[in-house]
Amino acid sequence: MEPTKYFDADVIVIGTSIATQTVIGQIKDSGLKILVLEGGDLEQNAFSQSLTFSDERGHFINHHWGGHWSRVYGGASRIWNGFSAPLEKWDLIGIDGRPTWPMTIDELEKYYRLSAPVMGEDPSIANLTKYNPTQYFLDRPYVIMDIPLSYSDPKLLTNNKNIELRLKHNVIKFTADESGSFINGIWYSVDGDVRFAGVKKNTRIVLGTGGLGNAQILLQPADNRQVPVGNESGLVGKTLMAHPHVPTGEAFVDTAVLKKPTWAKVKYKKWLPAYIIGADYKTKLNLLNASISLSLAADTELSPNEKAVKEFYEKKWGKKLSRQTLYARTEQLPNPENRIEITAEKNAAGLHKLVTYCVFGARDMMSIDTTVRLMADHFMKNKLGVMTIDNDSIFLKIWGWAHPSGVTRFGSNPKDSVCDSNGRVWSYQNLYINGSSLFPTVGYANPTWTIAALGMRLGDHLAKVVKKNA
Amino acid sequence: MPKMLNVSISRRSVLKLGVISSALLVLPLWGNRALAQSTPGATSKAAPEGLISFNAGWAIPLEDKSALLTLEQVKIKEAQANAPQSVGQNSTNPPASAKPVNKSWTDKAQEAWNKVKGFF
Repeated sequence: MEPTKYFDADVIVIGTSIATQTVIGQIKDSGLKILVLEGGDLEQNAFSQSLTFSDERGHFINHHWGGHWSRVYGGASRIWNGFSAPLEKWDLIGIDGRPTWPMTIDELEKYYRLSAPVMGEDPSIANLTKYNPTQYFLDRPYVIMDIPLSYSDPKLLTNNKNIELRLKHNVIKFTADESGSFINGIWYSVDGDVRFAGVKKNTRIVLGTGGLGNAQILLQPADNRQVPVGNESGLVGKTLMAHPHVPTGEAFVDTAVLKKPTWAKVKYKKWLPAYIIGADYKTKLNLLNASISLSLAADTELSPNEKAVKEFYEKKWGKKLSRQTLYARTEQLPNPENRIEITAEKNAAGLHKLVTYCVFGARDMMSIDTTVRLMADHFMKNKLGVMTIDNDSIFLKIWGWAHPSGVTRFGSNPKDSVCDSNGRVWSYQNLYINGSSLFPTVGYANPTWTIAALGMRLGDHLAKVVKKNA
Repeated sequence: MPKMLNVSISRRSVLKLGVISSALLVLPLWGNRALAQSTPGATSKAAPEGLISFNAGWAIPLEDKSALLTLEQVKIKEAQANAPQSVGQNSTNPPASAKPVNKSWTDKAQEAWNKVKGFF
């Protein structure tokens, strides 16, 4: 078969996860010609699974990062479910030297609301974005989301005449024109057979191949220049972040603590009680954003120690207490030492493989410890509960949940970011990125809802830009 | 160029420093307090209020501690009374929680020195 000479489209979308399907959703009715390139097939196979293996170093069990990254139609969104909560203003505004988000919380909230149904949820869950920041402790639950499985059905795209889907097309890297301002070609492979196709100047490219995958493509060495195409900033692969997770202990609590919060007026479907420290106190106490959730403890016999504590406080406070397990999730401080790099070895699709370095820092763990201790103090003073604080678990048994973020972060200044506020790579007029790799800071909850919100926002932006140019 | 402070240390001063450092290292061990940081009262500055908690333990107000310990003893006795006699009770091996034999201060000093050596 003669390789394609040109990818002839108004928009080339790379990847089929929720990061790109939300972009397509906003532009599919605009009459634009859209070409979608997916590296995997309709189902996982040994070939596609081998593509996400990397040399993983840090606070993660082996193949943890690879296990959260899928080369299959629908991407990781297809297998994903999890505990979501929106980011808050405090996460975006550069507290304590952290990088800022190039957008306001109002704009993000608007897209949280729009994207909630995409996540199978009611738009009212966006009400959790804003709360009274002067509150010391706040019941801000997780929304337990199950993304509709329709994302694994390619008909969602192919039923549109203006959308062409090509499976098993693994993008390797881009080429740039002589001006250095436009992407003019794409190296890719099909079943390991490496090919090249040109890209026209007015074609927009949206890269959404996963939190690690986006950076992997922008780190591939170029044939005719020192700097890989897309990494002119030198920041691609830096400040890798995820979410430290750890069980922090057990508690006997007043069941009032477990009730649905009413302050946000949310129509919850599935949710999990959780507490955070209010924004003003987080700043004052120099904390990262951490959340402690409560779930019903396993029904095992209480030890004499547990029996004594339960009986003592039930008698003292005159109320029944429920036995719960406490679990902490926290943001990870952006740190350039946490990063991904490419190795000399290539994978079966022809991309240089990755090595990941991701280690938790003192503030990551101490933020969990302090948040738990403040929660213990708050519960005790208000006769809401008594809890254990397991030092060994927090500091020695902590582990991470691979929500790879930050490795192509967006910002307001090309000096300290890879992409502009719309996710466009600063150096190129026609290359955009969506995914958690854009996040300058990562909050404490799963990133998928925020990815979907940013995807819809990018889709709206592209619709405007392409229409304007036409 | 900034003026350098001209300081010389005599051999006598070095010896003095060594003796004082060794004494500082060993003295707390005599009082059996060097490793007792988590015991209430061991630190010179007690927290004025708030909760006390030990590793993996309950975060509780200090004033509740003695009553809780008393109640826990009751619960332990109840559990022992209800528990079937196990083979392990006839074992000659001491339980894991048995207190170690008291060590002399010289043993403790030697252990401390071994720890210091371990730093290098």
